[in-house]
Amino acid sequence: MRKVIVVGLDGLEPKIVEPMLEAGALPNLASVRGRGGYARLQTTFPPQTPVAWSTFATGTNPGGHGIFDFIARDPTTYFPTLALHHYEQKNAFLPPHAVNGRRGTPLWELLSNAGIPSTVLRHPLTFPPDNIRGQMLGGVGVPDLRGGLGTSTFYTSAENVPAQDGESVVPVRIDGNDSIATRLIGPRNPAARSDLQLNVTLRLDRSAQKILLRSDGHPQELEIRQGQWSDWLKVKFRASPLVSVRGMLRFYLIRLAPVFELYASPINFDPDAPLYPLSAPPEYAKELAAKLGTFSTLGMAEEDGGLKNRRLSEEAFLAQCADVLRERERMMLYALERQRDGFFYCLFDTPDRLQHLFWRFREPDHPANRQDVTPEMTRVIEDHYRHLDALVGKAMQFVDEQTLFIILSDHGMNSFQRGLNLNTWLHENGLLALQNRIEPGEGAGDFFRAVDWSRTRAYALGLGSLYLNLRGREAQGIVDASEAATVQAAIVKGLTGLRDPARGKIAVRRVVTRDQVYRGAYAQESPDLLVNFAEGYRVSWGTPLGGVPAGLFEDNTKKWGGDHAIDPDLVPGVLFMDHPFQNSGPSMIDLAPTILSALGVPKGPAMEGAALTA
Amino acid sequence: MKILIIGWESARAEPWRDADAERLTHLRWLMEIGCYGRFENSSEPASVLAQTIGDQLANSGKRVRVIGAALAHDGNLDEMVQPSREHFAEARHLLQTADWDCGVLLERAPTALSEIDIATREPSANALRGYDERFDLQLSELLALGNDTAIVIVASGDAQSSFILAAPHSPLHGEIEGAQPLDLAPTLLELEGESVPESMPGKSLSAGRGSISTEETGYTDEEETLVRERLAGLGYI
Repeated sequence: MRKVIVVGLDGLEPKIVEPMLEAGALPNLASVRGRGGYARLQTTFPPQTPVAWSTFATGTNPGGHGIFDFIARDPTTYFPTLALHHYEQKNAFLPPHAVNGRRGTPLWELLSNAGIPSTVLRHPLTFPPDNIRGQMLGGVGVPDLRGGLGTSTFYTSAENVPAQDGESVVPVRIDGNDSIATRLIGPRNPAARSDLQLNVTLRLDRSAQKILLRSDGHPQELEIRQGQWSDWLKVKFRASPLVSVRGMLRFYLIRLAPVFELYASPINFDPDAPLYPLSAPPEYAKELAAKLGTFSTLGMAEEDGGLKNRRLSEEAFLAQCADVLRERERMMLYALERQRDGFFYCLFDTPDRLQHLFWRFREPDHPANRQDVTPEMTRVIEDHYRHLDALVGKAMQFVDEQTLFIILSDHGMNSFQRGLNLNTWLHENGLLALQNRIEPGEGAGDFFRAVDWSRTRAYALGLGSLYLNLRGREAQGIVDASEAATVQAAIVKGLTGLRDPARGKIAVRRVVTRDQVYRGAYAQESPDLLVNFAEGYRVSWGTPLGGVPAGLFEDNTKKWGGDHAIDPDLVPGVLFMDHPFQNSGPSMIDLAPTILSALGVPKGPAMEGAALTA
Repeated sequence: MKILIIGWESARAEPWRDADAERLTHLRWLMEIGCYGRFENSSEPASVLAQTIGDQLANSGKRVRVIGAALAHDGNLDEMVQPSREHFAEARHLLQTADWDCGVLLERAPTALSEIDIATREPSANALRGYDERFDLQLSELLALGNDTAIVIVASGDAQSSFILAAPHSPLHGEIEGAQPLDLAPTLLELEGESVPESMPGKSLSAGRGSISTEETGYTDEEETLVRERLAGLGYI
């Protein structure tokens, strides 16, 4: 083969794809299947986007690339940390620089070494981007200007509105001239323990149902119409006389009256002048912006937080998703036109985010449906799949006899109706202790604030990760290496088959230890145990950041009503190839060898799978 | 503590203060953590200024090594646009050996650069831009080696000159006005905690400022805020 084209569709679910294929609703995917084949694709332990795509890239189990969960922890402080990347400073003379959390050898590095070019668009864990032959644009993991995965701002004239997850709330006052003087919240300045800000003025035009935003940014006057996403506003925050940071954001005017409500997106790095390189070569992001118009650079570009926090409506969220898809489509076609040979990859993240938030409409009894009356949106997911099928058709135009065409998802999607408080279970079973007289509940706080480490043998954080409080590894570890296996066995025994009394259903299918599923250079960084949930269950909202809420089980009433952080056997991905392949039980670890083999390059020494094509 | 002095004849008095100098991230970072300023009444080129500082320190007993004394800038364009690669390599090597106290690295931007564009081979200011960026990059490789080192960069052009000074625990921050080239040697000695010989001309810029110790902070609400911020926007939590 001369060329391999891979289109990634994050979170595409076989149980939705298969009936649609049979019904003829996905003609392009059906045509790929007809020429080659289709199979369910075994995903990773755990089935999470950063973990599974890192396995795609490196061809190893997570022990070979070091990504085990979105969230890891610092054993010296027990603080949860973002596993995707971190910042290092070599010494005081050098500014901090971002370091990718994914290690191992990605397939594009092997291709580069063999002289074969790659174009990699928005692959997760490509921040900072790898310096490859060809070009790369960073995906999941690229931060916003505040250094996180996306902090939005909610402006409201209502009083005492508490901020929700990943947002800032700015109260505003409308003056006599129907104007509002307020500010944009820029990067955090840890030294000054404050936020950089930019003053803006909003002029309300009630009859035209819009506002004009005036600022020092570009454009100086931005029109924001009610019920529509604005254009990008480019801004500059000055951190000191010498350092400034450029970014850009969009607005959505929710309503002017009776309460004024305006939503501002996270501030994206401007592809024209990012603080850290977003692409390799660094000018590539700039080239794309110049040729195609500017675009969201944030790793998780969809405004799922706004919908999850019930600030944005379903319609507003979908409109922004449509913009992200359009940007990505243009980018994909632009790059495909220029790719004569080698490896091409482009990821569409939107199906994942969209399914998380619209899954509840498939389940009339979903606890999230109790809280508000929303229009019936049962067809949104299927409509989206049809749209993605059309995108596959557009990419197919670049496929010739010398091309291997692959469409795949990293995991599927499932129901999330009930949450399990893992730390509370550990507390009930004498494995996690709280400081004197504190009981599980809000008083126990997040970040293990009230945990008594001198009496704690295990703790949970992330999306199903469990760690032992190991002596010599954790700062206040009490479990000796010799008793680690005993504690692990007790947890496996106690949690496996755990029943949700209210529903009479099994919530935990199985618990695996690290030795059972991980090996390789970074296996020792992994959680000690992984909890694999049954359909309908997931870790509760309080667990990922180290909370110990009251009670074992709780209803999930958030709009985020679908999830895939469960037993990987329940959420395989999909795999389509336009050449016949060995389709009995293909796994994510087989993709890198398959792609390398198609391009005539031997697989890397650490790669565990095998080429699927003959 | 070692001392590294870079004399940079960059054809501009303050290359790090150009309109688009924000891209010179390592130079800017040194300015952030240290101090900087223009020299008053000095028309000498940076190589002379840097060597003078080295001489002053040698007179007070320091072992001084000079790198790049023979400045050459002939050759083809690709070579010219590189700051003197061998000199930087030599400086990196020296920084890792211990038989010296003060290194003086001399660097001169080829004058032809301001007249030729790399891409088009046409006269333009872009070549100088590319040269600056490479200088910044080479500097970063050098800085990566120097933990316990005081860094001084002196630049000159148009009969004017300026400096950046950054050192561990230095109390000197921000723009310093009224500095003289001769003030740097006594400043460096004082930063090292040594006495300044009476005979040494110039006066320390840090006179009376003391030194700053690094603050250690434990578990704070601020840290928790930062952790939350890093994870913000992850829909799963």
